[in-house]
Amino acid sequence: MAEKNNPDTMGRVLELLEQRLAGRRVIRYMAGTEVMEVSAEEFFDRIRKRACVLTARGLGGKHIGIMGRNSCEWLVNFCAIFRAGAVGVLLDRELDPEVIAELAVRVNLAAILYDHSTEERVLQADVPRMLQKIAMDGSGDGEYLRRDLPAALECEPGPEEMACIFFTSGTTVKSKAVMMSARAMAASVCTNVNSRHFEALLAVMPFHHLAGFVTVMNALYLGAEVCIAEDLKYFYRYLTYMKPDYAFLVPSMLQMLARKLKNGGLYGSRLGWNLKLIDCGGAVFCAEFLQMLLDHGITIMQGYGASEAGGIGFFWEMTPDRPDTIGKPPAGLEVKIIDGEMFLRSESVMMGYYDDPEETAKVLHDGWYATGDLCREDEEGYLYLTGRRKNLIILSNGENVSPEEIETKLKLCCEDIEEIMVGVEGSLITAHVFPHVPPGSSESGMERIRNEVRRAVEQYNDQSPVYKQVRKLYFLDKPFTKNTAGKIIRKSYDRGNIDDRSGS
Amino acid sequence: MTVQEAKKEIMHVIKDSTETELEITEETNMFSDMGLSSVEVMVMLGELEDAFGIDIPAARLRRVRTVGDMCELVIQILTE
Repeated sequence: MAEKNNPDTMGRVLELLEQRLAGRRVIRYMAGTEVMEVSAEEFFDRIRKRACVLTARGLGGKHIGIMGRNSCEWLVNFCAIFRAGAVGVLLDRELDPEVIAELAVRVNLAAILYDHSTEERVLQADVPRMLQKIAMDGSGDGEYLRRDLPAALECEPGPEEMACIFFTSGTTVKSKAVMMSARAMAASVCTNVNSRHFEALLAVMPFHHLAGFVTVMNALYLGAEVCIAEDLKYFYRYLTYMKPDYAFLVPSMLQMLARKLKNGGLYGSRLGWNLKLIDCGGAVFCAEFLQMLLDHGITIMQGYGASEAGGIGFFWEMTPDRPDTIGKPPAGLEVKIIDGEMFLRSESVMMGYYDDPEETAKVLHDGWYATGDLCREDEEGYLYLTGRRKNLIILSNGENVSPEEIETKLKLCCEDIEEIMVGVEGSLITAHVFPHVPPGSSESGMERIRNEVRRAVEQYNDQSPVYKQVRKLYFLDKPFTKNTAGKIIRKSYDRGNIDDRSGS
Repeated sequence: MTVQEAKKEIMHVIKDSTETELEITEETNMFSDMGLSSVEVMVMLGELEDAFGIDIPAARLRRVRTVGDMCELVIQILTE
């Protein structure tokens, strides 16, 4: 929870961090195989200088987008936006020029900060003439550096004013622009929800996801260092060279780690790693891989939160007896369940959707955010996610079906299902399955696996009401397409859009 | 290095990177046969880069499905 007397704006957060971390190393990243280090003095000095340039460019109080890879430079620039009294707008680094242009108008951007990986697309984007396109590395700042720079504005937004905008990584609907107040951003950073001790976080989650950014800043708040994972290609290199003891990952990465750790020793020490703690969120995680990681001394925390509810969310240790619980709410987070749907309230909940009071009114009431996640509570107060209301299938008979509920049931009773997506064709419930195929499987072996999946579906159908039964089963020969947060993009699998399947 | 030598080395890296016990051929599908996730294939790119001293943009993975496709991609970059 946010402690009493915690800062209530990002400017004050940065001041607090600068005091607390003085004299320490705060960031590491890799240049090839060399580990680069950044001290607190350098980090906060660069933020101040960058904020001065943004102010000199007339961007104080304006909306500034940022688009690039995870990097120290990205963090410096985003923090500088807050120091300049501007509003930071998080942009997915994979956006096409057309989408960049659309979003720029939608949220009234005055500038976009880009790096080498996004330069081409940002420069191509057909945006309003007055919008400044600015290189994050300062290479375009020439004339502004020659001027007498004003001190960065100290009149940053008040606690209840907007400080940040990000876009929901919706998997089925057009993304919405979420507004976060300065107070909500500060509360997201200055929280002790993660009470586990760690020394260095490997920052893998993209910074343009709110969770990616606040996890980094929270690590600094908790007194740890941040090791930046700029490119997923070099994931193992980061683990070996920078030796972080904590990483925030998505479930598919856990499976990859579990395989690699087979002969890796405690914490992966035989591989040169030092991994002790993992925060995993985003999907149901297979209990088999959980045990493999536990056997190597690695603690797995299940992290659950809704982006619109900010950085204060669930954080619970996964154990073999309850591998699928999200745990109990931490201090500072209020939870209520209405008609099976989870509602959250805390200091970090959003202000609403930008320029969309109608959509805001659907989900925000008296500080309570309707997550759209269905959940249940057991007798001991542990909470479990059972589906998402937003992905409800509405059948022609008027019944609502949660695809996630069916997916979870089938996955738990059939270990041959690697990935599954339940959808609908007309009035028929369908299941697309990417099966788990052990190495070396022959064609007859694969057919045996498909038969196991068919049997599991039949068994599920026998135990389910008619309207919830799976009527069509498809097998995929490659995994589902996912967004940068690792979630299946359901829209891609609407009828007619699937190009890698065979009938059951 | 001949094309055949390059392919042999590429397949060796793929096996090492993924810890697979499967006997892989150029026709082996990395997803359905080897059971790899897209993340694992991405990480494998990094190990291929280290082995061959090249840079493989992730965007070029779009049409890669089999071991043969990966071999073709690496060889193409080597000769660019």
